[in-house]
Amino acid sequence: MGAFSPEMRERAESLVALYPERRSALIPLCHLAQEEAGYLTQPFMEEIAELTGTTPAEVYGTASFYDMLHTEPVGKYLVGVCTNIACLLQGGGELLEHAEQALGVAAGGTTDDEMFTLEEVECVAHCDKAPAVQVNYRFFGPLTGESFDNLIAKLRAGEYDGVVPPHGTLVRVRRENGIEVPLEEVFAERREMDRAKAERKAAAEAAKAKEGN
Amino acid sequence: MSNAETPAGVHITLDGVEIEAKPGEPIIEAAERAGTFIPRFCYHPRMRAVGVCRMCLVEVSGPRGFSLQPSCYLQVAEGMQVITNSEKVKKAQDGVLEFLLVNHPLDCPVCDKGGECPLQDQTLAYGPGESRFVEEKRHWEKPIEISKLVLLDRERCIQCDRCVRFANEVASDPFIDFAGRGDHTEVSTFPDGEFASYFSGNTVQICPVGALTARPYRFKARPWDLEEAESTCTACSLGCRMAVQFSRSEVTRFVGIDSEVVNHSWLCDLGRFSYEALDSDKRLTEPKVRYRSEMAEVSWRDAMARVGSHIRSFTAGHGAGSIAFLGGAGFTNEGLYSFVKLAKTAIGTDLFDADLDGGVPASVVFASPRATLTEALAAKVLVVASADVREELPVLFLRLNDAVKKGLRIIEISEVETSISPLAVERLPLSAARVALALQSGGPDAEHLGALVAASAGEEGEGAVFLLGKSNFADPSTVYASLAAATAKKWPAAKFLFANSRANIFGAMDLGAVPGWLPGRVATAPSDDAGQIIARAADEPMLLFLLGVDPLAELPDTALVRSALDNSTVVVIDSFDSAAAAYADVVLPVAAYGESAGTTTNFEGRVTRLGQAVVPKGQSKPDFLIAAEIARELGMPSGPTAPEAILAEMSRELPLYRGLAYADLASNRYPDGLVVPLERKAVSISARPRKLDPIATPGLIAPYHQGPAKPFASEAEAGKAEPGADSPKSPRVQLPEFAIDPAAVSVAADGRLRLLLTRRLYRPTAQLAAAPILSQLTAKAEIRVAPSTLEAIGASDGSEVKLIGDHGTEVLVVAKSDKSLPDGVVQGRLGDGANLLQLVRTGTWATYVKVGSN
Repeated sequence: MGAFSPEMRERAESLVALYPERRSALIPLCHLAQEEAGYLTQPFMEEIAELTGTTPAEVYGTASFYDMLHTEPVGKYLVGVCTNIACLLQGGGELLEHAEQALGVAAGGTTDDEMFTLEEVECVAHCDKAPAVQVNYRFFGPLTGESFDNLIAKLRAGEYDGVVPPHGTLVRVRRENGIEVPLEEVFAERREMDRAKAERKAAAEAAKAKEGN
Repeated sequence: MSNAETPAGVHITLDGVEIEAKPGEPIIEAAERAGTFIPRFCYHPRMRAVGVCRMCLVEVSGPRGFSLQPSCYLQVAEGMQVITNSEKVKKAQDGVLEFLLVNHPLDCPVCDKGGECPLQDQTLAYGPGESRFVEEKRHWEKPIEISKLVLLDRERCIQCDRCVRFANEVASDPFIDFAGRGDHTEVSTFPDGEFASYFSGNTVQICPVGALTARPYRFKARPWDLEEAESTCTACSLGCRMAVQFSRSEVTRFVGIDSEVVNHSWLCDLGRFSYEALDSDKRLTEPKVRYRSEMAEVSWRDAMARVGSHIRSFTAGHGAGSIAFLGGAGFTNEGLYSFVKLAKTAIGTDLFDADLDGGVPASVVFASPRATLTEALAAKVLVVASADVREELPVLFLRLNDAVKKGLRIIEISEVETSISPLAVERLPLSAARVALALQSGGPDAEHLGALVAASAGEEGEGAVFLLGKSNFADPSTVYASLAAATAKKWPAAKFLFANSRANIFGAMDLGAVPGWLPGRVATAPSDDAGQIIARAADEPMLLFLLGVDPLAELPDTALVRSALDNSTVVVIDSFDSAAAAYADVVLPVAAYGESAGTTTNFEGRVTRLGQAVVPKGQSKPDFLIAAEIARELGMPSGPTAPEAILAEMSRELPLYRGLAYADLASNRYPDGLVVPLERKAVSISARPRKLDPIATPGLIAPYHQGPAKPFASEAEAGKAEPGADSPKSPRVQLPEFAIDPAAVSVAADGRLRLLLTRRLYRPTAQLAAAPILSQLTAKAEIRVAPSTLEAIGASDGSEVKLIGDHGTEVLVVAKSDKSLPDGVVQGRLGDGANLLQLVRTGTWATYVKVGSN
């Protein structure tokens, strides 16, 4: 009947139970749905309406308001190129243009293989790494056209699989909404992120050392 | 509310003048009452203020000096100083309007709202005159169909939130909401969803721009070409006040008038768009008589001659008792009075029944102390035992919804879940017969209900109001009569309202168009009701007058009705072509809504004026004129033939109407009509001139009758004698006794299910069928059963099943599963596609059916 899998439905119900007003769970449930489907399909919005005692129109109204909630299909990776002032001065505009050509879609579009959705985003608070790019809310930067292509190639090849989860996976949101996430899962994600960070740092240092030579 | 209850005022200074305001009211209202109009878009007196459009900014004193504040949102406080006319306020208004117009198209010449548009008008009055915006405006796909009736042009929208608030708060149908953000904000349904509300037309009425338009009116007229007649809606017996707007002798739209005591400016879509049918080719416009087997158009003279000869020959051959009148609840009071006079004096028959629904009978209605709607909404407890209010008296649902938010306590008695169930503190899932028997003989159900009522209104029911009506259209009316009688006996201090929903059914009762009564609530010998008349007509020769009704569609036991019509000589007096017209020997076209003047009576007994907007279509004539001409044909005096004169005769001859004058109803003093008998005073709130606020209901030409009552403006004329104040008290009608057969509550063995028939708003009628757009919404017949029952009969949700009645009638109908229903019951929802009424047999206490999967 519902769009949520039985396991997710259970989580959704426990989430609703957290709030004195059922409708307060609306946004957390939208995240839950995105985790399951990558974006908010109509059946999900209808089920969220049923769970929160609202109407699908109200769920849609809320979902369409927030940038992190998507009512249209999103690729596995949501690539956001920042074009706010700091990034713009560092070539964010050119980077976005490059990204559009590299991926073959205009900002807002999704590649035919449903791997990438490209977005132009407002400041993502990564000005020190301008021009910055976020992929499923994980940050990369500063990027050039070349390193952007590199990033895309690596994502496509699955090299970032442990670091950048598919779009919609939001472990922290779930945790902050009181949904129990197995600690191993959290630590595993943290370890993976730390490992990737160390790897990147080492690579950067190696590159620097190479440059220095 | 009387002056005594008004709490002490708050004093504020408005543009240097001290005025008194009601505690807790927003500045905008206090200013308006003092004669200062503050421009506004989002503010609506019948909805919660949100302060989103910023048009009503005024300067208000605060701890840090004067600052701009939204006057619709800010409540008055003692000593507050408000400035509405400073340079700063003017600059704010300039800015807000320039900003609103940034993305608003300048398509006024092709916009339906142009000419009555608050944005247009207020831009002219308060705007900057020029815009600095030279960029490209927003473009949207247009128009979007958000329902069958309502279209949305998003680029015109100024995001005032009126429609969304209405849908959400007033109608409790939150099927539209704002989507997107910033300059992408749009009013939207769920993708693929629909704004499926019975009240969607109200959003068009309150839209302050041309963003929401009604399909039936779109591009039909320009506001400055419209004329207006104040009138009362006759889609149901609530009697919503509305303006009939017309142009070149064509009705173009209905607009709700803000009547404090009835409809708060709201209309349901059935009422609002019913005018669509007035100009359809399904109208009866010529008198017709049958020559051999064909109906031929003839002159009124020939038609009248035929009617006259029928009456004479039936009277001579079979006695006056072979002539019967069915229907008339859609007629004016004047028409009913004339027809009853014709039937009961000129012809001499007692057979007249206007209530084909067999609702609560007149004997009970007259004997029970009746509440007004205002009293019911302010009751200590309101017990609702009727069919779904939203389906029967739609705008009453809006009033109840509003009243519950303000603290009204509702107890519902209904076997099925209704729109009232979520509003009620408790729903007793009992049939009317069960409750009636329980009240008569005691038992746990009666005790439980007694305790619930007593919790608010004591043992006697002081301050309690009961809204009683037929909840199962398979039941005989005796069930409801005994329920009402038992209730009145148990709670002698309670007051009542009855939910018989045919337009002027209470006028028909008052005027003796029901069995056992003469005009003016005067009892006479009991006589047959509609069902019994039909049963007789199937056996013996009868002359049947059908007054705007189609017994084939409206009475149970369709087979019997068909043989009765076959067997009788039928005179159809109607505005619309119906199935029954095929059986007619004579067809007389009667003027439809808006085509004749008169009065109508609502469920409180409130008499209001029906305005004439256009001339009757074709050869049709007003109802009272047809009755007068038949009387003249019989050689009787026809009496007065103008509505004013007929009402004058009524108030002269009938104590019930004493003191009632057409001029009073037409005056500003009684804009909401008068409740008869006038000895109850009551009721009418005196004149509340309100020249301001054309923004609440744009398009209304004469808005001075609008608006909430203003007790603060002091009932200046309170000292004046009310009309009818000196009339003698009419004698109290004795409440009759009714016996209810235990068969009404017996549980059928052998797997048969009890049939519970309910109706929906868009039930198929001749008038609905004649409305091109509205008829697309015609309800489809279906049945609902408990999931276990559905499983037991081997059917699935949405599949077609076969219902078999006790006398072998079979009906194929779609079945749906409904968790809220108990086992042993099948809820039949009447509608198009399957005639469920034919399963009911006249004269049975309860109807049982077998369900087989098809």
